[in-house]
Amino acid sequence: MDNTIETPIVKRTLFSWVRTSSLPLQLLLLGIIVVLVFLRVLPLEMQKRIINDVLAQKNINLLIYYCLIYLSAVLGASLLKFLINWLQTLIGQKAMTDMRRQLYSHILRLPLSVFRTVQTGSVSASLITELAPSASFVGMAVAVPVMNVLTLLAFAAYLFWLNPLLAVITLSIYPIALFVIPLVQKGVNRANKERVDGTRRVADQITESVSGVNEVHAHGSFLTEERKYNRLVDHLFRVRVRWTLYRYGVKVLNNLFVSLGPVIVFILGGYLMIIGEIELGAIVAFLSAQEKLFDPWKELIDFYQVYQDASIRYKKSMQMFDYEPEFELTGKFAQADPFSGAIAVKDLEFSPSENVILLDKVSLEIEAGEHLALVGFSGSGKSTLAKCIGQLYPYTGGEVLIDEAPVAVLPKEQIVKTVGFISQSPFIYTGTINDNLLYTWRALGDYLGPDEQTPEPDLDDKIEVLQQTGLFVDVLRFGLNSVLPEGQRDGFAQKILNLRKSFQQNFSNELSEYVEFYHEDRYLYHSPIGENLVFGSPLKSEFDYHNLYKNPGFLGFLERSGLRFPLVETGAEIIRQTVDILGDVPDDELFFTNTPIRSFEYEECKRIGSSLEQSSAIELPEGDIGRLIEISLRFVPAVHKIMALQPLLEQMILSGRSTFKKWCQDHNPDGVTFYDSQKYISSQSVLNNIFFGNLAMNSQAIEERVNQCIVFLLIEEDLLESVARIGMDFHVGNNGDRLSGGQQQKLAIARVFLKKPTILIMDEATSALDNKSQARIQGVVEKWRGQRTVISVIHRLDLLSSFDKVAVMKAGKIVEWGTPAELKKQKGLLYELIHGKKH
Amino acid sequence: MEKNISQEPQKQSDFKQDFDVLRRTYLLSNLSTDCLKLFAMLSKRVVMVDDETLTDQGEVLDKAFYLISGLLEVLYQGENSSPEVIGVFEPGTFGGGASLLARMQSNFSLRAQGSCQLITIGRLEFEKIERKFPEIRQQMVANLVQELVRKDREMMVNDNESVDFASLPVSLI
Repeated sequence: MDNTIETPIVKRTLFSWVRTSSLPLQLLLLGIIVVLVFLRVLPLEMQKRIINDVLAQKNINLLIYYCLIYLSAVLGASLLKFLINWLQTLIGQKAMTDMRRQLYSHILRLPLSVFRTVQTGSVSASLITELAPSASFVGMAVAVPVMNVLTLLAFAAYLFWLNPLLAVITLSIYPIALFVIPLVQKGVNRANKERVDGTRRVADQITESVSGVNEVHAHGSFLTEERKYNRLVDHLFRVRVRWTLYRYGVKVLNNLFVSLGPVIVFILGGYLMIIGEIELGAIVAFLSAQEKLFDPWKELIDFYQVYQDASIRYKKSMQMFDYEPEFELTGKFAQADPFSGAIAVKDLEFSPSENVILLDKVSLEIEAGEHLALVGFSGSGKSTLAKCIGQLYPYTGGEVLIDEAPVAVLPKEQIVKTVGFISQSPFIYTGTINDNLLYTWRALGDYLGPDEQTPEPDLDDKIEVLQQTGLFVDVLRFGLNSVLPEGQRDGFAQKILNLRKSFQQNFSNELSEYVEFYHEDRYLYHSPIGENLVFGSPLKSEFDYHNLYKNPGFLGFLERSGLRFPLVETGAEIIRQTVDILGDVPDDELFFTNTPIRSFEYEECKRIGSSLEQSSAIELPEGDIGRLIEISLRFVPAVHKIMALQPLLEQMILSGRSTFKKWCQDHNPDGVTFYDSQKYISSQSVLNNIFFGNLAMNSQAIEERVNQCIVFLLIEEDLLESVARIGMDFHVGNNGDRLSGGQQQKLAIARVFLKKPTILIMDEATSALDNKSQARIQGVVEKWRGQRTVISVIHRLDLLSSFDKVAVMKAGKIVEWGTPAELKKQKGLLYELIHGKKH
Repeated sequence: MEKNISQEPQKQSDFKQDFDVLRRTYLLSNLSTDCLKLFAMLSKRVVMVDDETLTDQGEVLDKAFYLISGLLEVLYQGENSSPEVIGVFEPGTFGGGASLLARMQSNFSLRAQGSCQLITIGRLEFEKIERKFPEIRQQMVANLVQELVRKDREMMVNDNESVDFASLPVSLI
């Protein structure tokens, strides 16, 4: 076995990747290079023979013969060069993928303390940007030097063969270049190191600002963050300019040295030809060969620069992550059977750095199945103790034993199988609810052997933990609010239509005050006039209720159906009333909640209002009439209290509904899905399809009442699980940002509950939840007394009675220990925590 | 054929109804018409379902209300006891006026008994109106004081048996 495989990645040299890259490919590459070098030299010999032999003999056949060889060599060389590039890329990319995989794997296993100093931006920059040149280097590490050195040697030998004296003098330039160029390269390297550091700092700053963008918006610290960023970018600019100048300095010097070659050939070669020491063909061949030295030489210098660049970036990347993982990942420690969950903490100390003592000689003992509450003031060490028990922090003194096994030396495998840890600020991963729910279960599966694997939790298991945490209602809501893609609708749509019917039959009377069901012959008082006319769900933006006034076809329809004038009149009346009531109110949206006019339109409406005092609405300019129609189409009778919907207009709109439907079906059949009690509305959510109406007002209580009725029916029709399944496919957004803080915490708790750990550690796991939700979860956990060990860091002291033991902590020590009843009697620190400080 | 809806008999808007209601309340009765119009404009029609609470004991009460229909229970929960209904507001009751003028915690819960409909005015809305009509605070405080005196007198005149207990919570005036 190759030793380099066993060496930790951060200790590997850049060259070790060359050694471990694909050997057959490297050998193939070398073979191709040898052939290529021969094909590169061959045209020079042909060139000389054509000048010296063919032109002297005037032999056409020989000319064609040499030219064909020349051409074949050039074509063959081009083809092989392409092949070499392809192989280089293949080797390089494979090496880069391996590097990224291994380094990522190493980073994930690093101690948590490392991530207090290393920022996300640096990790991304190292893995993505800084490793790329290393891969290029690995790809070219064999091919480029071998090919170019061989080519150089071949051309040099050829030059010697042509004229040794001329060759020695011409080639003497290269040693001088080899001495000068590295001197300049040192400057390149210095600047490059600064550039790598600068790029990381910029990446860290970006990560920090974007991660904390809520704070930036909350405090309006846009300029503060910009200043920090600009300072770093300005520094990077200066470093990059210096780096680039040095790099070009190397290239310019190299070009200068190479350009001196022909001058020497002209002076010395010309002299030798004049005195008859050398032939014209040889001089021409010499010049060509010397010119051809330039390409390999240039490639070697480029390679040298790539090596230097890659070497610096590689070292910097590896240095950053040069730490050892704190725990073995797999393996078993003594204990063959599963742990029972008994925990003993003996003289535990945790000191993350000198003079900082977070835990000071902490000792406690709990039996398997006992529940322990850790309480105390902020900073007393409760969370630190929980983390040490859960192997998240490596303690620095004393020990934590799980069934006699010291946590410090337990492989991660056994901790994962035994402990479930829920933190105060859990991380929710991008994906669906289901992905997040199965996260811990899948992680556990990675440690189980083939005979230990358990089937994936079924829907009932998932629903159980969702109910335990109180997330099930949210998941149902997500399901109900989902718009089903076409493939998912088959069969389900008909069930929803049946449910719609049942819902109206069972609840229309009970909910009549709060709900307005869609019915072709009934006006929707809680919808805008536009929606009342369209009476459907728009599929194209031009039929969106807010855009109707811009749709020429729709405006033509209004004209033909006799609705234009009443709508213009309605718009005018809205403006008259609004201007009369509001007068000169400031530009504040709050004043405009009960009128379809928006605050930014008010000045224009006041102007139209003045015009309306002079002339009738229909005599206004076309632009103003358009505005009146727009405003009247937005009018919602139940919301915009400034005026009532007149019965005649209501009647006209109801009549216009069927006319519009016909017009739309004739002219734009794909524009709108019309509300039809017998049809599923594909563009709307499951909930809207069942509900098939509007809520009378935005009230959480009414919404809850309707949802209760719908859930009742879902249970009756055996559709609850189907909707929950749809809800579990809800995408939680980036880091769960489509979920509330409480939902995120519930999901984090649910995923650990699903794992059914022997020891459950809850580090203020319910802090983001309301009292009711906290009590619900505590109620679930309480039922596990005697079955699972629970350690819970809590702030809500009214929940203490459901614990067997309580440890009260202060300044890193346990100052009180006992049952809740004992400690309450003692009237010590716990009493003070519950009742406030004694005066 | 185009119809002129303005020639049809007009249905009264909620705005006009709310305006009429609010100008008859003790708190807003003598405010200018322009100011009252703003109150009517910014007030909200609210429908409450059975058991829904308008405010909970201990929470900040931040709105005045006028009960249009239905019943609103006044609940009080003493220490170590369950909430008790101490009175019921009937349609036509105006309450919570003091909460517009100063930040106050509710000593009572108000819960819908069956479905009920209200007009509410939030403190935020009042503050917006006050910015346009700064004089109204003084007028409203005077109205509030007069109402307290009137209530006081009413209680003194009536014997104990005929006291309307629902009107007892002075802070809900």
